[in-house]
Formats: sequence, structure tokens, C-alpha cells
Amino acid sequence: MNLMMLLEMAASGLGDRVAVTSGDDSLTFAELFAAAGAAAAEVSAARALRLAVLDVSSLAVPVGLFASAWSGLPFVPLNYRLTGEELDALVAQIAPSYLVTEESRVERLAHLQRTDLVTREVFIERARSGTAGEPSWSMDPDEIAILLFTSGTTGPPKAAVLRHKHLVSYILGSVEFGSAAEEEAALVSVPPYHVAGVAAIASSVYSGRRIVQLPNFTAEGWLELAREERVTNAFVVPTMLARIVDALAGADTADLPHLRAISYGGGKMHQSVIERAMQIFPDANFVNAYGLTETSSTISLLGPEEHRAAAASDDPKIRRRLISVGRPLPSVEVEIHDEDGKPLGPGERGEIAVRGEQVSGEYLGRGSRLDADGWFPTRDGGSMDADGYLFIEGRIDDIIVRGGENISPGEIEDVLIEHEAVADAAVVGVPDEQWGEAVAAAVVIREGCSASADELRSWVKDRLRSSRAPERIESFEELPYNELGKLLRLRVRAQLLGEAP
Amino acid sequence: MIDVSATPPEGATISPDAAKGTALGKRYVNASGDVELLCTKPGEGSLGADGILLNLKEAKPLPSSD
Repeated sequence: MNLMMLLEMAASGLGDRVAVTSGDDSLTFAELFAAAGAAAAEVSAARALRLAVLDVSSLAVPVGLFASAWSGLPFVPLNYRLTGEELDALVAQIAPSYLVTEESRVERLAHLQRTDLVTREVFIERARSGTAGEPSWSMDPDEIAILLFTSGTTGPPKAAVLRHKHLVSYILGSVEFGSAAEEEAALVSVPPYHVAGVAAIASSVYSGRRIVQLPNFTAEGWLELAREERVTNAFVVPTMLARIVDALAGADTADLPHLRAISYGGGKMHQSVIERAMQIFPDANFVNAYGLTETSSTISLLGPEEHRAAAASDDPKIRRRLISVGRPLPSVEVEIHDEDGKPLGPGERGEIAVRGEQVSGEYLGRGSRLDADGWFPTRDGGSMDADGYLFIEGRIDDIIVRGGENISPGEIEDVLIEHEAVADAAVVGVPDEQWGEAVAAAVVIREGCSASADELRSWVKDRLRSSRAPERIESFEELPYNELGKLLRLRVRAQLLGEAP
Repeated sequence: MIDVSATPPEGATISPDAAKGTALGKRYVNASGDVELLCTKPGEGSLGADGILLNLKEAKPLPSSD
């Protein structure tokens, strides 16, 4: 098993189709295959042990990914928002490497040891003009395909290890070869260092769908490119969809007649945003995908029919499925486990655990986190209803322990956001002499609305239990999110406590 | 039957019983479901196991999630 097998199949069966469009430039599947081979020869000659790309979405990303697979080196997409010492530390950790980056960064990185720097332009030019050797990649399924540094919202970044067997299993389990119609095009706006960015390349290649790259997301840029390129499919993180919906405020529909499918994931979607999006894109098929870096992307999804059924239902239990992540893929098993790793029943809340061929659960230098039976504990809290719909409640490490009672912030946030005056809410635990931890909430009040702390406290108390009512509620201008829409709880907590972020 | 490592004799043709073709990216399974093959290089011959031809496996498409 090797990712190159996927590209080789696309190049031999669908070689003349365009594989990727990047600005005015593009590569067909046959050209991408040849470029990967030529780049592999170039990289192998450099004696690097890893191929890293520090770049926005550009042709260097798919070429680099497949050149890595061809040459047997791990591919390392680095976060282009990092600078200074943070970035230097990551580059040092992956040396000796062959590092493709933007020209403007070369001078700044030139002091780094055992790092062969090459600009994106030179890398692509050499890949295009060079010669690919005979196919020579290893089919050893245990070779490392990708090292992905996780976002580290709770600590220093660590590198998740994804082997060829994990990624190829994910693709073979979820995508049918050549299933995309010739006119299909997927708009990729997540950065290459996000697992969804890598998964988008692999699944587009295997389905024969053209990738359209959007290097720096803005709602306006997304809408314009989707229109120009007649995009049919798009994946967005929830904050992107919220901004797209905002940008279309006042419009009846989005006027994107070619857009057939919008999938989203990578964070919590508010029910109001998805409901509004379904109105603006009435003909689009919505898919909610849940997955982690460590699981090679998607493990559970809520499909288009399930979205429509939930949105049309008067039964609150069915309607609530709009904020579920649907049901597990047929190729993986998902269970809810208690603290001892024992499975729990329907509706019971615990830790989401997943098992399957696409699940890695391994970190560089730290070994595997799979248990003896192959289950990966995700550290995400959640529950599964009797019909198998999975609900996510947030990171277990964010759970507030108040007087011995475990309180999940997500549950309180969901209730606060249902209040008409509340645009956004974050709940964290703060130290408390009496209870150990107290519940504190930061809320963003909608423009032109108002709600007192007492009113919001009663609102929560009436819908949950009194222990859930936040002892402290403060109004924030906006909540801190990272660039991929993950709420930065440590920063919310620091701000609530009056500490410097 | 020709051994996998052997060179086919000149003029050899595919047995008419095994000439339904094998298509790129399709999966083929036996009746009991314990053999499943993915075609990565297409050809005119058919795949079989224990002397019985494998059947084309119907695709159960999932909605695209990335």
C-alpha cells in the first residue's frame, strides 16, 4: 500500500483530466504523476530524510505529497502561520529535511542546519522539467506517509504519524475510484497542514475530481472562486461557513448554481449557522464530517438526507441530529467508553473511542496510544443515541469539576447560544474556594440586543440544572479562535481571570 | 494456467471462459466474501479463485466528506 498507487491509477485511467487548479496554473493527473516522479528523484538526491512544505495551498503541496510517497520519505506540511523560534524548533525536529517554501522566507530560514531550502517556484519548475524514473515506490504499508503537527491548543505541538496503510485504508473505505463526473471540482480552502487538506488531495485524486486551491480564505474570495471555477464540492470548517453565511446576509440564495455539495467539520457547528446555510444553499447536499488528525480524517458523517430530515422534523430528538456528527463510516467502529475503557450504552456520556484500519493514534517519538484491543481514545467527550447518531461534547480535558460533579462546557454553551441575545458563548472552569471549580461564561451579545447576567443564569438553570448555571458571566467583544476555528479556551479563561493571555 | 513468474508462450490467448475483463478501480469478490481484490491495472482477462470467476462488487457510495 502506498499513496502513489492512488495517483498511478488516476494517471492511467483519467490522465487527461485536470487534477489541480492553482490560480492560472494547473496540472492534469498524468502531469501530476510525472511531476511527483521527477521531484522524487530530485529529493532523493538531496539525502534528506523528510520532505517538508511550508507554504499556503499551491501546486507544491500535491507534488510534494506524492513525491514523498514515491521517494519513501515522510511528507511534513508545516503551519505557515508559525514564525520565529516556534517554527525553528519544528524544522529542527524534522531535520535533515528538504524544505519547500515561499521565496520571502528563504533568507530568514537560511541559518537552519541540515535543511535544504528550495523555493516553491524552483521546486515546481524542476518537477515539471525533470524526468521521472521508473515507478520505484515501496508497497510496505507500514512506511510513514505523513507527519502532521497537531495544533497544540493544550500544549506544545506533537507530530501525529500517519502511515500509508492508514491513509490508503481511509480512501479505499470511503471513496469509489473514478466516481467523480468530469465537470466536478472541489474547492480546497483548508490549509495543507490540516488533515482535511491532505485528505482532500487523496480523495479528490482517487475519485478523479479536480482540486481548486484557495490559498488564503476570505468569504468573498471563496464565493468568487467557487463561481469562476464552477466548483461543485467544497469542504469548510464551521467558522468559514459562518463567514460565508454572513457575507451573504440579505441575499435569498447564494447564486452558485454549480455547487452541489458542502461538507464541513473540524469544530463545533452552531445549529443557527447550519440552518441558515441550508436556506441560502437550498440545492446543496450538506455533509457533516467528524474526524481527527490521528484517525486519517473522517470517521463519522451526517449525510445530506439526514440533514434534510432533521431540519424538516418537528420532533426535537430528530431535529437535534443537525448538531450531531451522524453515524460512523462502515469501515470503522465507534464506541463510547467510561473511564476504565468499558463500553457505555445509548445516551450515556463518556469518551469517544474509535477502531479501524485508518486509525493511527501514534505520535512521533511517543509511540501508539491505542489500547490492547486497538481502540483509540480520542479525548473527545460524547454520546451515541439508540439509532447510532454520535454527539460530540468537546474535549474531556475541558470538563469542569464543580463540587465533585463533572460538567461539560459544550452543554452549557449550546443552551446559552439558543438565547436570542447571545451570538457566541464559551464556558470554562475557574478556581473556586467552595467548589474547587466554578462555572464561568464569556458571552458575545448580538448587536442591538441585551441580556443581563441574571437573565442568562436563569435561562441556563431552567433548561439544565442549577449547578450548570454559570457563577460568572462576562460580555466579550468576540471570542478568541485559532485560524481554523478552534476556540482557545485557555485564553478565554485567562481573560476571565484578568491574566495576560 | 501459467505460473505468475513464467513468460507466456507465444500465441497464447485468454481462455474464452475468463475473458470478461477486469476494470480499473473495481473490486471483485468470491461468493463467500473471503476474497476481495481491487484492480489497479486493467486487462482483458477475468479474475478467479479456486477455478471460479470472481464477481464484480457493487459500490456503496458514501457522500464526499473532504
